[in-house]
Amino acid sequence: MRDNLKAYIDLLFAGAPQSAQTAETKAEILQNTLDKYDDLIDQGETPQAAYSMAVAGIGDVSELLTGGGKQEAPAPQHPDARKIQARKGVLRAVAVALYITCILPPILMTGSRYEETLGPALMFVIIAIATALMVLAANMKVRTAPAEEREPHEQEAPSPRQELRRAVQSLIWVLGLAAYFLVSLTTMAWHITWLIFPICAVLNGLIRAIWDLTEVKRV
Amino acid sequence: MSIAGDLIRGHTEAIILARLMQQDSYGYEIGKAVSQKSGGKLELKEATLYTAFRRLEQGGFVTSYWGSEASGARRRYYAITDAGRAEYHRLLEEWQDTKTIMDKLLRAEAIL
Repeated sequence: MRDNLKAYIDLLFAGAPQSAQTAETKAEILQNTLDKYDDLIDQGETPQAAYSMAVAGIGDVSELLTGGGKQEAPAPQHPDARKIQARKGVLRAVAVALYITCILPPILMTGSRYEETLGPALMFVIIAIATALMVLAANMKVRTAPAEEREPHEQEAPSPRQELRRAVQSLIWVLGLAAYFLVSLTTMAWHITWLIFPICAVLNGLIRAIWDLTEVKRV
Repeated sequence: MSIAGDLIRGHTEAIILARLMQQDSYGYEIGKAVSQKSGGKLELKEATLYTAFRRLEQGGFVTSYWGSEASGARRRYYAITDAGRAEYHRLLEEWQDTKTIMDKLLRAEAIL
């Protein structure tokens, strides 16, 4: 069993960085564990029992291996992460502003000969720009090392649940757009139908909230 | 020992220094002495001991040397330094103060 102890210690230190210090620590721990084993045998324990007790008495050596890593500050956030977060925020803010102001062209052009052509056209252009910005913002991801990924929202591989939610949200927007056109072209009530867009936004928010609430937290 | 064990483990360095005040020693021997003195109630894991050894050595409170044994087994011995002795006395005093305060606080008194 003494050889088993040596093998066990070898395993414990297998992943550790090779240095004179870790080699010394390893030798020290090995010798002390062997001392404990021999002591237990002298006290009349069976080799198996002595082995188990000696191994149990070692404890958690991971701190020793990393050279007291506990004192180190947690890994700093990826330097670009903050920049990207800021950029995302700006994109989203601009997009929302555009959504709100998209109604301006029709309003301003009421009564002019552009009322039914340029007005709505411009509005759609603004909406398209805003939507493009939102898509851009959603797709901005930080390139992190696997060990640094913590936020569930930044996952490279979205879970099926996330995929479903995103699909539903896209569907809402598409349906909203289609409904907008249908209703507007038949009723020509452009000054009212634009409400469909804020409604879609609210629906999206609701969907997201519901999804988050019903998400099963996996440890 | 659950909570009390955690509390005592915070004093591992003081316990080691106390042992080294008496004589130079090595990991297992210190752990064994602690176990016996505490009547088997406190078992210090090797990892706990070694972490404490590193910290004590970095603080200059102990020095270490490799002893050569007749059996050929090389053991790492620790010796207390003067700074270590001073630290021991400081920790002992700290503990006495803690004990006094805790006794006062835990004593259930009739009058608030």
